[in-house]
Amino acid sequence: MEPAGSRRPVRGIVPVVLFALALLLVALPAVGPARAAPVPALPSAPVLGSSATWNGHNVTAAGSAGTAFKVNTNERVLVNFSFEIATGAQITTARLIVYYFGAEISANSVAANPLSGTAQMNWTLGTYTYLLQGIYRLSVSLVYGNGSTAWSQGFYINAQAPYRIASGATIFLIVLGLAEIYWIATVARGPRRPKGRGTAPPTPWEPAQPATPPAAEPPDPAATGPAPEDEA
Amino acid sequence: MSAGSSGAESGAVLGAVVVFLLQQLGYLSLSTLVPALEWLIVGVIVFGVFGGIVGAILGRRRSR
Repeated sequence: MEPAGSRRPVRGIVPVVLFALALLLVALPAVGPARAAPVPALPSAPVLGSSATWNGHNVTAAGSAGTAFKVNTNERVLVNFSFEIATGAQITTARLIVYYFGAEISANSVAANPLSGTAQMNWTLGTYTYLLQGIYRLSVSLVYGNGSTAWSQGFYINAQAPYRIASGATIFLIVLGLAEIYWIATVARGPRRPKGRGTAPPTPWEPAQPATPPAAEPPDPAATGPAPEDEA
Repeated sequence: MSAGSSGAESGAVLGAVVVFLLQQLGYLSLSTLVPALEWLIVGVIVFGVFGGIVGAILGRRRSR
């Protein structure tokens, strides 16, 4: 039987499941339409040259987590696409996707100008602004009119919340971690004191008895003299 | 539930929390599925074993 002292008010797995569900619910609106979009069969023409810049820096400079672009979670970033393709092909969309655990958690698209060979996107973390921070892999891609990808390039960003901990997920994880450490530490506490030892707490309908000194013993007749009726 | 298994349970959750927290603080990338799952499993197992040992030790001290 489980000792009363080690019993926990909330099971440890519950907060983690709630956290995963919250992430999933937030991610679903971004993931759903992107996965539901049909991808027709493709024609294709070679892309002669393409590039993308993140606030003026070529995204190929952030090809690993160690060289990730640093960005504030509430910052708006200008992403510029430029491309040159062979005659006959038409790139219509520029897309930027954020990945987490291999899944797309956010996808932004803008219309590309096939004549000038450019596209501009003002990107933010969107719904994750006050929820997530940390290192994420992004991919920029150029998409043909039929939905197939003409060019794609992956890179990393390091999104930082104010004061480094001011994001919902970070605060939740810190609180949950401290709670788990507390629960491990409370294993050392002994079981609750069994009934019959010590003073039981008062019941709600019974007011607490004030602390009174032990009842005085009856006075010793020899020490106090004769009783009043004896004097009479 | 024994103190050891209780500690292992808390330690396993703590391992997952630590992995997610390292990602949130910018020390770990969980964007790609396979290394992310590896990190998560390693964290859960290592911290689960550690939590179980700590829980068993503390439970033994309590029973003395």
